[in-house]
Amino acid sequence: MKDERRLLWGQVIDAVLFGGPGATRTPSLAYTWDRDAAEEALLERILRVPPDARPKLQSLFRQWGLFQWRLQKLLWGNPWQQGRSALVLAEMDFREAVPAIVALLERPYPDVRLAAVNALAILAVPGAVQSVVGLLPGGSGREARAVLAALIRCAQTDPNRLVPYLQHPFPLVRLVAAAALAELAGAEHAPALLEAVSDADPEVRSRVARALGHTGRPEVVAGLARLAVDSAWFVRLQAVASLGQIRTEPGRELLWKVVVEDADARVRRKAALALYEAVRDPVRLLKELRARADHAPLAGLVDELSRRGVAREAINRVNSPLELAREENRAFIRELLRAGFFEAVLYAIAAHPELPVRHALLDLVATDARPAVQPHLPALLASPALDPESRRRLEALLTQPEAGA
Amino acid sequence: MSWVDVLLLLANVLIFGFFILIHLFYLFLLIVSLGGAYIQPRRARLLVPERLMDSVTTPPVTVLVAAHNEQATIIESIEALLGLRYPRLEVLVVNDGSDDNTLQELERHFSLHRADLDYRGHLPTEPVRGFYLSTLDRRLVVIDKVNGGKSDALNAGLNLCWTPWVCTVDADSILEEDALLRALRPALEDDLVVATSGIVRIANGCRVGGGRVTRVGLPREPLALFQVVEYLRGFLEGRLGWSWLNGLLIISGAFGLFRASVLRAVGGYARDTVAEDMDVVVRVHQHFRERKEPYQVMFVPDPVCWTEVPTTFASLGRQRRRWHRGLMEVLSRHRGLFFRPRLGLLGWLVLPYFFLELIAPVIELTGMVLIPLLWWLGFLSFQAFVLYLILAFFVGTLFSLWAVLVEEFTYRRYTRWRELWRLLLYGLVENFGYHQAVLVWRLQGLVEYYRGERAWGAQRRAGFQRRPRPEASRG
Repeated sequence: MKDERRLLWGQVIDAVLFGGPGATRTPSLAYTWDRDAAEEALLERILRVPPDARPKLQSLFRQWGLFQWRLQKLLWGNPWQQGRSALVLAEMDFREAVPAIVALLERPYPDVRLAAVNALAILAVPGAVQSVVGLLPGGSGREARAVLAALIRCAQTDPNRLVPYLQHPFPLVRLVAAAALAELAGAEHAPALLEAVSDADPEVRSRVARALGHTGRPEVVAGLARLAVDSAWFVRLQAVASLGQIRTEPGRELLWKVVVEDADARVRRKAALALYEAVRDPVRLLKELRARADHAPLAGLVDELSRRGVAREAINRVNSPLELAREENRAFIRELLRAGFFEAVLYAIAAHPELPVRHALLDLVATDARPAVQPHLPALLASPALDPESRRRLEALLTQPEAGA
Repeated sequence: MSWVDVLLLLANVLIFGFFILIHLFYLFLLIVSLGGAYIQPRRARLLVPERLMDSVTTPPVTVLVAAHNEQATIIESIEALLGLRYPRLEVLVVNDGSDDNTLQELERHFSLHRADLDYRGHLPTEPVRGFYLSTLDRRLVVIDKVNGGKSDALNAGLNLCWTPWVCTVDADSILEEDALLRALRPALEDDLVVATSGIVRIANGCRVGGGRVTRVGLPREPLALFQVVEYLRGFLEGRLGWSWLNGLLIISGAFGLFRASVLRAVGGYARDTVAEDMDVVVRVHQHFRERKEPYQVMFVPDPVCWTEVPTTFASLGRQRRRWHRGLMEVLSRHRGLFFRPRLGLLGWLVLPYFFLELIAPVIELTGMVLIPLLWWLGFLSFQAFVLYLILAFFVGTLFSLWAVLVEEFTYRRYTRWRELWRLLLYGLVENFGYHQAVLVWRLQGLVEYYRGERAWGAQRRAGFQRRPRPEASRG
């Protein structure tokens, strides 16, 4: 078999790591494909073993001459070999290779530069931030996402290194720096980010909005308020999402304003979700959104509540022995039904394993969902899973359609 | 010169001209694909899938599965999809009005419950009966709808999908664990990429367990082995070549990744064709080329989707007739795009090539009858007859052998030497019998099109694990 070598090397490595019989025969390291096989077997394991076992694997890598071999390829190999060697040495966590990897950023081949950026990301070298950002102005554009990933890793211990790039003349640099700060920013970065809210590029403003949310500071609400009325919808979208993270009273007021006034349904929907994040009171939120008769934010919120399991949880606890919880869950289901979202409740009436839950839900349907629910009831009645009591109540509902309306 | 002579001359020119033209196309694609065959495996080695797993720059993806009467395979398929290595994944199954217990199986196995989801209805579809979420895995969403065909089901999925990327997968196919990460690599490197696809390989002969291919092997059935060679040629020469030219027209329905916004912008999948996967890619090309916006549709050979192929003449014939009917439908729908200056390569090279593929069965089968007859009757010289044999039988063989060698020198999925020899042998003999049978089926596909047949035809799923392995059946 052609990949037998890798299996043999795997056995050798496992014997070193965990003890045991080892390989049936000693594999060779004479040819390139032998070294490739040994390297593959080591790489497979270094990603999985606990940190304390890594030095053993690094020592095997050196012992078998693979470190020298890879270093040679990194310095003098062809572009593919250089790229591959950078990645392998980074995966094996050999920090002494960093200067040679950084030097690859100067090479004219995009694939090699990309590999070098990825290698630096793996090694998370804080000192590489400047070199990595330096790729963007003269790059082919292919590097932007890799540079972003690398910056997030390299600057995670010191995000301040990214701040000066928010004022860089090249828009892509500002964009990538803002996007990296959106993952790393802390309270201390709020002033620099606030300065960037007036950036000329809407893409940058959108990332700045996200970064402002990440700071968690109440004083950034003024900046977010400005971005929440931006001309670009995706900037407004990001601004309202961040306002939901900040959770201040002015922020909540602003979100309500956006839910009501924004021209874009996507932004209104996001604002409704942000309000849920900020308020965590789905009953009040559903009630107020229902009163405004705007379907987009209402549907978006119910979708999100369903996906997060909030609706399911409320159904399961509709008969909770704790009165407060019971009333809260019932209020939530009532609001769902009044807003016309019947699916989850009707399904539970037919399929919930606890009969008292089914009956409680039927009572809520009878009081709060009619007459809108009426066309859905015959299908529910046809369900074979329905218990006799629920069937009787449903038939009664169908024969007196307007009684509870 | 009598009219008979003129007619014979015309027939000769047509047949010889066709063969020369189509082989020139193949040669051109082969040369172009060499770049891809050299660069793509090397690029793949510069990817560390594990690193993309924890990267915030990896976008969320929805895997879209249209399921119609898939109760035999659905659980295994969905479990395999949920087990894919991808950090932000949603699996959206569209039960397209199954008559069997597909939905009930899903409901029972994944503990589904109905939910009120935000179905935006950008694309028209048959009515949706309900949405389901799983209590066991929040990444699973199921849509239950009235039967409307595969395209309709995919459009329903697009209406509910919230992620920027969507991956379409056949319910009876198996993706390799890191296939999504690998297929998305070009898009991570280049924002111009709007669609990518991986290679489809044949699972017959492979060992399958837990929704994964655990051992790669060649099928024992000769019919399936011919298809292995055919698929290698199609993907490693044809698609790689077209991808390099940004003229890729087919992203297999079994495994394709698209920007969801682009799919919506072109109106989703067409509901009145059996070749919805090709049709949608033509419209993506048209969309960007007409607007003169830069874009890329890419084929990446290292992510693998495994699928089972027909092993009987009847089922293979049915499949090939449907494929050719689909090609006819697509070219007929988009006939206005041929030689349109604004469309560049698409109108001047890609579509004409597919037109040649469309008429290939008519011309090749005519040639097979006419040329030997003309030589026997003395209307054709011996040299011309030999030239015909070379063009019709031997040149194609060279292309097949080349594809096998490219596979061997790049991806090497078949790891035993015996398998390489078998592939080469089948590449050698493919053009003597199998190719002609395929031509007949393709011709029948054209006839079906003109008769007005539009249906997919019945398909039966056995499920990977339920099929006895060849080794077992031989004791």
